[in-house]
Amino acid sequence: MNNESMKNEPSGAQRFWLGLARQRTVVQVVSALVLNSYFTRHVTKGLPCPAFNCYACPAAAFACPIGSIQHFVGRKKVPLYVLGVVGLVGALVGRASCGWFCPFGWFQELMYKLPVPKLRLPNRFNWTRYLILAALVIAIPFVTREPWFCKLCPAGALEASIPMALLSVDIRALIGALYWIKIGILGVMLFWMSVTRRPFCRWICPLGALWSPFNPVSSFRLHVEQADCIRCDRCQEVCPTDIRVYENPVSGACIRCLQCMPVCPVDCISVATSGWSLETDRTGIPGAA
Amino acid sequence: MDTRGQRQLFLINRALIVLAVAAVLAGLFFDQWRIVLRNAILL
Repeated sequence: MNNESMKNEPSGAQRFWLGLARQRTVVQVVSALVLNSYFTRHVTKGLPCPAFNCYACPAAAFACPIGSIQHFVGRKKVPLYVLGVVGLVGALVGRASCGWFCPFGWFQELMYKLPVPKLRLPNRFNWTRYLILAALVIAIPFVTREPWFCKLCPAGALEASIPMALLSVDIRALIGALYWIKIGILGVMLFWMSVTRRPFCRWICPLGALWSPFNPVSSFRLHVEQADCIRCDRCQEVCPTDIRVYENPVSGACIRCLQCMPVCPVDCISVATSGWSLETDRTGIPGAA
Repeated sequence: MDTRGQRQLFLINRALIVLAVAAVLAGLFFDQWRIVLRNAILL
């Protein structure tokens, strides 16, 4: 039996998600442009960005949630507004923002396309992003009143430090050791991105760490029909975070990019939308696929 | 997952959405929108 004949007939909703999955690059390009649309920044920079995008970038139109959280923590205030926006995005789509809207995530995928030898790393140590969230975003900024994650952030180096230094003589005059440390971290990350899939998202990103716990309970979830799954690992081959979707479809590492759906030879991966879709109404079970 | 599990997930999901909206509103009440804007603009 070939793969095509093994496929079930996709439902209307399934066809919609499959079609959307094929347009992901378009969404990523549009998102990168919207999040860095420059002209609206005097108003929209009061809104936390639903992705990881440095707000010191000259073109950034939204506030970086991680930078904003550090600012509040440094001022000994609870960032209710920012956490609320992050929580709302997490409760609705989990880490889907990472897979669809994050310009730095997209950049990592582009870097991985470079024709260099690849290194496959297990996800075993991906708890490090929680450590970075706790230390560099909360504890150290609380004590020092300085946004230490921003000071070392490779996305900030790429989107802000380098362009600002190129654009302004005054900024160039301020360049010191920290700038070069940050550029060094970016250099290491650029190399790592070219050999391993999305290393920043998997081991470092504190925004991903905030969204990961929402994955099992978010409205937008993946569902695997375990009885149909043949464990062929095609899902892992295309997964930007290198996970076996069938082992845990609601894993905190999953960025809901849906790239596993079109390649599944038996169409056993579907999207559950927790009461928001017509298909769910038909079954009467909230959250059913 | 059984129907009960689905129901539980559904309720947790909706509770989180309500909590998140409440946090946003509370933040707006304390003028945190302006703090975020000012911090982002000053960079």
